[in-house]
Amino acid sequence: MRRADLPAARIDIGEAIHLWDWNSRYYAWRGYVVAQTLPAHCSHTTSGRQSLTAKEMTVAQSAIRDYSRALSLNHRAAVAHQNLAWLQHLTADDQAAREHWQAAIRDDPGDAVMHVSYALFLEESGGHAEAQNEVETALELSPSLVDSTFLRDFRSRPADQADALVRLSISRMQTRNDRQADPILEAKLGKLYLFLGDAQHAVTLLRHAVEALPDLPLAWLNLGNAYAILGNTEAATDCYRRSNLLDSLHPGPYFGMARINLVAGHEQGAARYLHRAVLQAQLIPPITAAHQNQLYIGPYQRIDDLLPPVLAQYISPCWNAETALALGEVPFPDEAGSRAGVGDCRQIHSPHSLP
Amino acid sequence: MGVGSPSRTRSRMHRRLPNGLNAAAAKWLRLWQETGWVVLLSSYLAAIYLDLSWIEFLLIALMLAALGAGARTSTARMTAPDWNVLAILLFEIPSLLFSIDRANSVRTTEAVIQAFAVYCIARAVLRSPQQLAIVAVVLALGGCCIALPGIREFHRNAVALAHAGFSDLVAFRSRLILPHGRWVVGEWFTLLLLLLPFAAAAPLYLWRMGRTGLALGATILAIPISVALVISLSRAVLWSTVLFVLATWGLIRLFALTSTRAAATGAGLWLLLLSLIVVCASAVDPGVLEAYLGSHPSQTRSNEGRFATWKRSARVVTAHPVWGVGSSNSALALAGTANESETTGTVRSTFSLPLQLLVEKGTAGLVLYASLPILVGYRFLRGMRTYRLAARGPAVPGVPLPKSGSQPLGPRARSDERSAAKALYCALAAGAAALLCRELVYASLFSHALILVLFALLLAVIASAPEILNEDSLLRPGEHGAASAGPMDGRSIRSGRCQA
Repeated sequence: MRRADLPAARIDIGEAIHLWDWNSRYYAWRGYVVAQTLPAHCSHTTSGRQSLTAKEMTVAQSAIRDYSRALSLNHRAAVAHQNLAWLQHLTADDQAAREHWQAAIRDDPGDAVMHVSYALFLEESGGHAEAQNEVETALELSPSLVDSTFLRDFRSRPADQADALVRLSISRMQTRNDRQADPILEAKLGKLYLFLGDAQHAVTLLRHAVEALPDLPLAWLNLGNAYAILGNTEAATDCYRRSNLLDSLHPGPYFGMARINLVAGHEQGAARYLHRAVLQAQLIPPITAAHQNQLYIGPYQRIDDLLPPVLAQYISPCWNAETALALGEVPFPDEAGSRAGVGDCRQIHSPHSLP
Repeated sequence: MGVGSPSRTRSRMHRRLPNGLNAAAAKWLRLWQETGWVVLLSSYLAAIYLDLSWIEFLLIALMLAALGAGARTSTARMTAPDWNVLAILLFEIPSLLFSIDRANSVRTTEAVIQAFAVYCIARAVLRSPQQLAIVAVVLALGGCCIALPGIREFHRNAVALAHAGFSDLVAFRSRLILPHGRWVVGEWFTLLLLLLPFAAAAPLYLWRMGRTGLALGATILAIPISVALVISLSRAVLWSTVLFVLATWGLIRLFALTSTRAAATGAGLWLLLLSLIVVCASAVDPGVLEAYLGSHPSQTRSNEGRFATWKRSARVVTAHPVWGVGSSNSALALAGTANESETTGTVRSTFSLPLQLLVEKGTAGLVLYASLPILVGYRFLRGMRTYRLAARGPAVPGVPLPKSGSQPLGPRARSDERSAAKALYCALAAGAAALLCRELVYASLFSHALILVLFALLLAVIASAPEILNEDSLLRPGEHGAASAGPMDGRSIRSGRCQA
């Protein structure tokens, strides 16, 4: 599957099912492979709802059968519920889809992906208020969602809707943190404040979080970003270095260092860091697969088996290699303040320009 | 399963062989029985650690085949723990039907079957204190091989963190040692906790046998394992190690193997050694001592996370009280009890073995699994008490024993060997108790096949106390022919108290 050789993957999984026909994950993986040939139906990433051809409908029904079988063997498989919901939504069975989305959230309420996915469906179905609730929950679970294309799109729709949601999430999380101080909560709040442009407040919260729990690489990264916005490049560099030590796979610190070099006018240095960031971006572990590996014993899952295939990328922080490569190819402007022509990813990752 | 009479087995074997081959065959048989099984068992354990599935399969098949071939000539006798282990195995099969994800449970069932096989093999083939001592030395060596790279890695990572400006080591305790393969660091420390009693048992055995020099040499094997446990920076691991030391010397005193003063001195020296390790480790990598003094926010969070997980586990138990959610499914079931206000992330386990048993195997499973250490403990106590009188009047370390096989042992030498075997048993029983105490706050027994298999081996050895401590097993191989005619054959264990 990693090589995208779908026919071969399907044959191999079929053999695995033949040998072990009560393994729910095998059915789910076959359903995933089968569904790869379907159009990525996601109204926010394509030009709108498409109707399936007869052949596509047959394929979708086949995938639905596989997921249904997977769920009959393990009714707690949240990802299978989610994928089945997408397939049913694709085949216009929205009532069944809604039930499966709700089941996915019930079985794994701590997974932000399920909430976002359901929010996309709700928004498409007109349930804007419900959708906002789900996005708000997802933001509380995973503030790095603010770095995703999903939130960028969300931000570009009704004016200030995304910012209002983030403020609402902040308010709820702040109340919880006031009740009982929690360094993780502070780190999440810091990230959200950073998104809203309040770098000073973000520094306070993130500093406090890393003092209590210094083993949080993302908190160090965000602290570095906040310091960079405030113009404290020395502190930012130190934070990036620490973040990189704690999670050498994450491209974030390299992007951060590239930005610092860019501001300082060291274009070669910036290009070197960007090149490294591109390489690192290819090593980021998939989000859902990492979660699945903690829930299930067995073969190590290395890819996100979420449907539609674009979903994982759509809701992940924008670190993917292609975008980073595009960013690396963009000729850097002479003036640090000018952002013209720079790719989307940079805008999402750093919505507030460096001084 | 169970232990047949070794003397009867050997005499039958001798009868089938031509006279000229008797001596050579007996020699090879003896060598095989003393070391062959130990080598096979150790290789099997190493193969599990290194994930060498094919070698695992071949070795277990070989051992079971050899055991099957020997079973025709041995008289098997089941004891209460053996029946309990069999009941556990039988329970695992129908419990699959009640699992919420059977495919996820199968691997734990496989591990239980492996542990069952090793338990059977150990119960059937480990028949003498010498064999146990060899097993202890080999496992201690294995423990050293695992611990030493871990210590090196700890130091390397601690230096890297110090260079980056981090002064607190305790917050990074989960990333200072990265074990081989898919081992999680906490489970890796469980493995070391399981190997520590074997490493301690060997010097105790040699000391009681009067081989002080060898005992001192064997003590060195326990040091790297102790160092690795101390630098775990986990208070539960450290307290388990301390508990192990205290329990070992407490049992040694309880069974009159030494005086109170000597036991206190032994325990004191061991604890002093642990303290020295902490101080030295702290001097080399500052922050080790601080991990055990005071309370770091990461430790507070760890405790809070545990309590939260236990509450969530209780909710799962309420929903599945009898059969549970199935082996290995606790993480899956706990995922459904999360809410967005918790910041503990994905919960991989229940952080308590009794709770894990309740969640995964229900009340039925908990009763079956919990009764095993109780029954084994009862047999251990019975075996140790039976020969208490005989062991009274401690042996004088340094008194030379007759060479193996040269002549029958005198009563004094037998007493020495029995007290040595008892000291070995004290260390092993204390190790099992210390591990189970740690498992009250960390569920790792079912996390890896090797841990389960090693624990089964430990229980099998402890359960064999009454057999191994009986008169027959303490005889030298040359004596068995005469002993088989005597009153203490394998079947007369129950009357051991009278004989003693």
